[in-house]
Amino acid sequence: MNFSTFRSVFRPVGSITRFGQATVPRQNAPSIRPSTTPITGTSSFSSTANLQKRKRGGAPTDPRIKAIRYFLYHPLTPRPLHFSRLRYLRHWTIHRAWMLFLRKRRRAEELELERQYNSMRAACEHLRLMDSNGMLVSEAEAGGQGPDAMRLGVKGREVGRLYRAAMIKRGVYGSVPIEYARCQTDFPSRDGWNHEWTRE
Amino acid sequence: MNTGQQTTRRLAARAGRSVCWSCKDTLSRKYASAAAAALPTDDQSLQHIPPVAQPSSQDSYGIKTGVVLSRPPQITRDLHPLESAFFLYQRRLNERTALPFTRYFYYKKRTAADLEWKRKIKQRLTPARDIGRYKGYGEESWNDELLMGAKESDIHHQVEKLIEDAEQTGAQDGDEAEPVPGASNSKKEEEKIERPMPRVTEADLKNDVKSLNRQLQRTLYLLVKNQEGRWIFPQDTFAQETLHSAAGRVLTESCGENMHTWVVGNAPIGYYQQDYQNPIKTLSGLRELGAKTFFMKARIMAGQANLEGNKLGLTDFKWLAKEEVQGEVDKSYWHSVKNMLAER
Amino acid sequence: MALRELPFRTAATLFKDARPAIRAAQPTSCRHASTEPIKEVEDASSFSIPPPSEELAKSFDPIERSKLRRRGKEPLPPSRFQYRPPKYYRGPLHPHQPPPVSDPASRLFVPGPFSLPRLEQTYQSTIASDLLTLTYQHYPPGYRAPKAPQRLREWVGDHPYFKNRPLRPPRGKGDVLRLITPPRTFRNIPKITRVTVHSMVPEAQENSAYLHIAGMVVQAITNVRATPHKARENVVAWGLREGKWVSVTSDLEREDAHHFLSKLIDVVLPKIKEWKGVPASTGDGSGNMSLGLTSDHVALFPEIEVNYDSYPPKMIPGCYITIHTDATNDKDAFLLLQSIGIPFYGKRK
Repeated sequence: MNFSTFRSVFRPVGSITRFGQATVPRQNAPSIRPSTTPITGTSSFSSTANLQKRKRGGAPTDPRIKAIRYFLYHPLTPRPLHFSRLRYLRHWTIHRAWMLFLRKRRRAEELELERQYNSMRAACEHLRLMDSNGMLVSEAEAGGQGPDAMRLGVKGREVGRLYRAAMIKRGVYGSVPIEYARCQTDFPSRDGWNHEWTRE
Repeated sequence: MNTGQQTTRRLAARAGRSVCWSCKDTLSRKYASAAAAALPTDDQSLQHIPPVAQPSSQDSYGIKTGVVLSRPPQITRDLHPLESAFFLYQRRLNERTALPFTRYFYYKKRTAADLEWKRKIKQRLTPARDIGRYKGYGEESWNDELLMGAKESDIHHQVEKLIEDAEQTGAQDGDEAEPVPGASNSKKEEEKIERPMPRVTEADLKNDVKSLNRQLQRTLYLLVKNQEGRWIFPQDTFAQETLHSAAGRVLTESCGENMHTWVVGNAPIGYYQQDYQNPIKTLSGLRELGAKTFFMKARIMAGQANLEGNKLGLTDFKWLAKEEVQGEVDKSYWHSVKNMLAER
Repeated sequence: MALRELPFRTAATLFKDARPAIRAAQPTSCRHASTEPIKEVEDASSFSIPPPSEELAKSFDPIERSKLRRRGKEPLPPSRFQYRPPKYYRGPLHPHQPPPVSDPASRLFVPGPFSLPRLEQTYQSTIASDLLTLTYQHYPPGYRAPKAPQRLREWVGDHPYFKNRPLRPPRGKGDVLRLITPPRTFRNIPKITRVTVHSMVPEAQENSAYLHIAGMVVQAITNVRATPHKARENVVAWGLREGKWVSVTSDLEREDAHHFLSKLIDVVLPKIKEWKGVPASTGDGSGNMSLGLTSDHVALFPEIEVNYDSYPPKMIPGCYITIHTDATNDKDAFLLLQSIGIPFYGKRK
């Protein structure tokens, strides 16, 4: 593995190699070196001798582990960006535009949910004040004041029967069918919508 | 400002009343709830004659359940140009701030894939395949912004580039330096990779309003044509049932069994009140002034509506998005229904 | 004039609708030093200038332009303002403050979203309104939730030292009260806030290679750098020794979390052989749910599958995935995760 190709591009941070890979000068290294045999060739800049002294007994470290360690603690780390004035101004403009766009999008989503909520609220309020003939009664005669939907009013069970049934949450919390929970995709499926589904 | 005295007085009177709805109700309910708490629960209270004339006990309204059956969006929406441009801009910035690509972790040396990588990196300068030809470090790394009219931010262009990269090995005609074992010695493209299905389907092009493959980015709502010829959501009268079970029954009775649907929750999402011009006399001797329809939300997961043999006299159906629904239904119906429907 | 006779509030409500969306510069009675420039700034709009013509746009080549100005290979002159952000934060009163994280010059700048995740789009278009409909609870107009009473008990008795003593700790195990579920409105629909991927490897206490591989695996799956943790105490049952590096976690937010979850639900979980699902009793009572994956399941992630040979055999760890949500109780979180596509089995305790 030739790590020197990175050196010219980045500014190296700290020491280049940490994990006992021999930094053999190019003229001494054989042209094709299989990765499984341990590196025994040494030079004055190599740390292999010291590390081989440390690891006594047992097989040498798996080269895959060495590679993973190198990639995790990569010695070449980029530095913060440095923009010119006009470039920075363009970035600032883009950032402001994006923040504004996100704000508008969030607001639109909130408003849509609010509209749906208000529509539900109006319908449920109508149900609460409606008796079995479909006529509205006054607030005093209806039930369901306060948080408890099951509370009956003066007129009793006649008023708001459908409202009380609507507020029951029994069976709601496990009721989502797995077919419904299908994430949107970027492109449609090959078969498209299954128009021929039958109830078996 | 030059407002006349009368206008100012009128506006002031209206302004004085512009308290928010819930506060107004709090103020009125304070007295109502106090009165309710004080009322004893026996017949003496019913003899109290309120100042407002109560509706006659022979009046009624028919109660119906409607079902707003919707097919949720199947694909992601088209990105706004600002969004697609911004995402590409951020990915270009990422090229400049990310750690270098760990090539040997993914491509072993002297394999065909490694050679292919070496060829391709010279062409596109970056491991990423869909951000155009750009290198995050070096002489020209400052030039990371796209020029006007560039196609790199378009998702279709990006998908094309990814597929191209997967199909071609990057080998040119004169590139026979290293005969690599295992690689096919062909300069032509390898087997074609399947392109993804287009986002605009056939049903979109034909504008087939009965198909559920149309407008995959939007929510489609089921509208049916009743005996009077009006386009409405499926509805039916009911009794001795909850709204949830009535909704399920309405769906199977009107549109057949071959629809995999789910009625969401027990609570209605909206209502529509229809007042008849002349009250109808019902069988139980009540005078029906109109009908109130409470809509339940339902989702369809598979299948298609089938109006054959339906007991509600429905003649036709359509699957329409929100603004198309507005074009089909009556004005007062739309006014009651529009807040239930989703924008997308 | 009638306007001056009305009180201030009425005047404000009167002209609420008459007020235009964009504030036009009103002739004010008081004049500041900046009155004149403000008028110019407010009237100008970048949309009043037409965009550059097509030929101009096509003929623009930034590299050529730079070469013409550079005069060959001469090094660029040092710019007048060399800014390096401070490496350490020295407090709010120090003259050199770190720039905001959104500033590209900041050391903590991370490039922003690269895509609009499909899970987020599904949630916003379909799931949010369905959850609202499912869990809708009606409150009559004018209903105000009662003020939350004192939940911690006082020391009650004859003992003289009970007076002014700090309140008693909460009932039951632990020292934290459970979350109260506020009334459901369209503003507090449960949503997924964070995902944590956690992998504990007891063998790492002997051989650090296991920890490195776990870190690499977690980083590959989640696109977020993993952080290592030491064992807090000695636990013989799990083989933990205090002070040894033993596990790695990574916290995913926003885009990363959505991409990870959609990958998990659509690619990884369907491939698991003979998988019953996630037990429905999972949940910590505060709206967070957890599921576990074994080493074979983790190997099914596309990022691990693509270079499976680069990992030594049998060293790829399993992990726990915790999904943190906005919900304040188990059943809301359960409903949310069901609607996203996670299959559950068994009873929800």
